[in-house]
Amino acid sequence: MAPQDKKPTGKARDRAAAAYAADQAAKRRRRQFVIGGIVVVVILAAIGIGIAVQHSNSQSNSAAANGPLVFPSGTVSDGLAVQYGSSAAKTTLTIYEDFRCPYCKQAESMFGPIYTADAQAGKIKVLYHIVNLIDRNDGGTGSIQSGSAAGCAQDVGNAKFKAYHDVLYANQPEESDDAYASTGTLISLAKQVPGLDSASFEACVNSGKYQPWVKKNYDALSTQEGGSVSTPDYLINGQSFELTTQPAATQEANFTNALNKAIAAAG
Amino acid sequence: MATKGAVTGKNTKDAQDVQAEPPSSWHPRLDAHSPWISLVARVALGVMWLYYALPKLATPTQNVADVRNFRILPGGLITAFAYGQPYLELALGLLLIIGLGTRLLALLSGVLLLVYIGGIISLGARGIHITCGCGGAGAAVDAGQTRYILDVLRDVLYLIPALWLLWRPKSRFSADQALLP
Repeated sequence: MAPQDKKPTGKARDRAAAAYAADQAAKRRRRQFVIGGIVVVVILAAIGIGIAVQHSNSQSNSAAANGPLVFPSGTVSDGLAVQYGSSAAKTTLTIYEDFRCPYCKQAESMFGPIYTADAQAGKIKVLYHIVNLIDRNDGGTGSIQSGSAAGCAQDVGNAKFKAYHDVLYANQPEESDDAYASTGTLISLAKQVPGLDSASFEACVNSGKYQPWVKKNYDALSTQEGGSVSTPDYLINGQSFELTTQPAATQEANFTNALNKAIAAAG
Repeated sequence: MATKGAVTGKNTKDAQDVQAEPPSSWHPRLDAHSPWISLVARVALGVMWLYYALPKLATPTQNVADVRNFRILPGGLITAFAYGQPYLELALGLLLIIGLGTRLLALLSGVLLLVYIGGIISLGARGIHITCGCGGAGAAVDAGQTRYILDVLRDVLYLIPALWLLWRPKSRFSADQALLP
């Protein structure tokens, strides 16, 4: 009799145990779903915070462009131009340029070594006006950010400005790539100029201190040219020297001649 | 006989219980230590994510430059990714350390690491010379100064705890353990 009594009891107990286990498993699964849901929500919220930070950063960037107009130290022409070369030089080469502009880079690669040598020899002085044309044409902030960073370099020293100017052209990104909008990129390029990078330089670049200065230069050029701005704009004693489609060697020879003529005329 | 049968039945049931326990393995001692190993794996992986997330959080624009240097993402996605990435890593790190949703976190960590490994390998394959981002600066360097093989090996090393947790998500001192019956 005992075995007969025991068997059903055992089965019932098994059934109860199975039901309990199934219930526990269902509870467990439900909680796992809830936990998974929480994890997904937390991660999405974190990414959302990141995007929000980016948004507020880009807003503070456009705020920088509308900030107070201040001029880098030692600038001339109402504070708009950075001068390179001796003030005593009678011949002036004025350059309107944009570090994001491919033709500016092309002009720089042909004429840069020529005018740099003349400026160092005391024969000419160069007036750099940095504008933000490509930002206006293509969108983005690479022109105004790099221009502002160059102003920050001028604060450190005129030689630092010139070296950083050349580094910015040497590393110019494709026109469609707004790499210079990143102050991180601009700061890491500054490390190629010995003695340029410092905490105050980085703070200057990050705050976009000279963005209004770049904007002001654009507005001045726009007024001067009756609204149609193109870069680069090279002026030898106020006379425009145009970039052409001729071979580089021809253009370089023409530029050298034009400069020499102006230097000779100035005596 | 009856008594003996009942006893045998009980024994059999116990044996089944043991087999029903989470994947009984080839090594019972490994099973016994598994929650502790998982604890170590969880915290190690979590600390790894925090270690890489925190410097990036401090310098978001530098991270934009680093991401751009990989030259994988199109222009429009670079900033969004560069800003979202450190926060994603921060969330993964913190959740791993408290141990909430361990298996899902292990899966996400593994996928993210594979994406990074793929990125580094593609740098090597495309002949782009940068000091791979991954916690350091992604600046351009001369050929021969890159250490992509080391970078890949390091990321593969990080995959080990992720894979372990995918296999054995149960760990000591975890929110999962406290919340799951």
